Amino acid sequence: MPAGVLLIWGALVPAVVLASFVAVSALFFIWLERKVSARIHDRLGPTRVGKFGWLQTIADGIKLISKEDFIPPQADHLLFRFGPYLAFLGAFLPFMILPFGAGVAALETSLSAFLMLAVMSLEVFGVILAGYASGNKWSLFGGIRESAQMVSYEVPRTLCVVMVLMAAGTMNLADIARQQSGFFWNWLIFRDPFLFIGFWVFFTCGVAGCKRAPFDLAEAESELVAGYHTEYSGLRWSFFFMAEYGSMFVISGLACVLFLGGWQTGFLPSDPTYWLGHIAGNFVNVIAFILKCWTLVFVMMWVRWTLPRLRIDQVMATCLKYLVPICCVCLIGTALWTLAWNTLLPGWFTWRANPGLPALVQQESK
Amino acid sequence: MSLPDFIFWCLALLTAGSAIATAVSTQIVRSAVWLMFTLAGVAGLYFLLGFEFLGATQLLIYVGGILILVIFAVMLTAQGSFSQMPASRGHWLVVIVIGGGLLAVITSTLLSTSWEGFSASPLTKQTDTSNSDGLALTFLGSSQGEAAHPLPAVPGQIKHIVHSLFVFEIISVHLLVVLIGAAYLARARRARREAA
Repeated sequence: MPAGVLLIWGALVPAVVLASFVAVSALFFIWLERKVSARIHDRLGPTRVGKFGWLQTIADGIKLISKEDFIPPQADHLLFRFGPYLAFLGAFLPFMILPFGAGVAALETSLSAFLMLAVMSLEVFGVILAGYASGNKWSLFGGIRESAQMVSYEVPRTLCVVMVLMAAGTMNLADIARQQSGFFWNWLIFRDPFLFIGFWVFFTCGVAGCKRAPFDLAEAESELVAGYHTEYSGLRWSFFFMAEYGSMFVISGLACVLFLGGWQTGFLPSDPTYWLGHIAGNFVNVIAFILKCWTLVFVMMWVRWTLPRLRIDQVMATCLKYLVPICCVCLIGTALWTLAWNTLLPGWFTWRANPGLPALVQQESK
Repeated sequence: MSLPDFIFWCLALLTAGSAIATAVSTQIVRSAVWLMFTLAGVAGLYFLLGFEFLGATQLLIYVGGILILVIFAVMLTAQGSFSQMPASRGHWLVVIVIGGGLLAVITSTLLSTSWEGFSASPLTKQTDTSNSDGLALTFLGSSQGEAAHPLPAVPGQIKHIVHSLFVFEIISVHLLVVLIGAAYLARARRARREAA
């Protein structure tokens, strides 16, 4: 095949696989959310449609597709149409960079952590645009709240990422995950106490970034009807929901890669690709990664259905008065810790990152 | 037409089309959205050239900057639901003079540069950003960083052109403009309210 055709295939295959993955995982998460919320409320949740109600989301999806696509006459038509697509784009693009396994990423670049932060900031743009273009004051409130929240929470989130980049010494997400191979005490979260705090801060900011309760002020049903997506219906509305569940997975995946060992299972002495081969080993890796992400998504649901919603001033105070100072202290702490260990025990981290198979890892990195 | 050419033309059309829409649109928020598409198209061109760091920075800073611009535009300038702000004849005159001058400078530079020795296919050009040291050195304009991935210098000009640093200076100036614009809009509005 000519190079151009190969390039097109190489772009199409990951794009289609990832788009289906996002859509199917959104279906699964909506079902899971219903079940989890029901169990927390001491109810059963959907039981009728299919075994354990797992067809309920598909039934809802069919309903959404057949709904009328309505644009309110007072809305800005062009921007109203852009909103859902931009939001979905912001949730979908990070999947292209997320490493699901050793070498299993649609786009492997040496700057993937930085690129990830760049494309993750796109989603909020869609939300603000939707809130503004709806021509509805409740939507506008939702959009403005979301922007204030996101612009503030991006600061501690980025600082947490910088902490990890400093400890790992690379901006490549795949390399960061590779450094944490082996047993779970090699994970970056257990490397030093500051990174341990950093993980919780990062996860909090991630929950806020996905507009999930207790930070769901952009939608706040009891105050703003449905916030920024009040005027949306049918398929456009479901785009927002796919974006929300997609970004929940992305932020969990990023937390996994940065702090929880990425695709490493945590109870195998080395990466399974070394002794199972590339395909079989990565099969184990990808399953481990997805299970880890699902666990974090489950924690997000658990938090959502357990904690009450914060007020907007409390949201801002949490971020600016607590999370940012904590992050700054942890950033300096991580720097000093890394420096101290490198001075006292030179080569300690490089040895601990790849115990057992240093030769193989060095060979691969060349 | 090869694939990189095709991608280039798609991105160029997106960039240029959105740029025209930015200038023509009378609604300030629509203009900002089109401006975002323009800047995203430029970021795409950077990715096509293999300058991944520059592309990511373009996305991060410009989308963030434009975002703040939009928020200020909505919160501080809108009188009604979707306010129209058509440009006056004086605005058009100033803009045409400045834009035409810039176009003349760029065109003359393009025509006077000899393009021999440049890679034909943009996709073959790759930057070596495998370690953060090389990257940092390139930002500071160090020749060591440039040696890692030499950038084409314009013939007959100074050899050591500090490419990345210059681009970052422009980006920071842009951010400054956004900040000053936002502060200006906020102040003007408050003064008018006090007067009324």
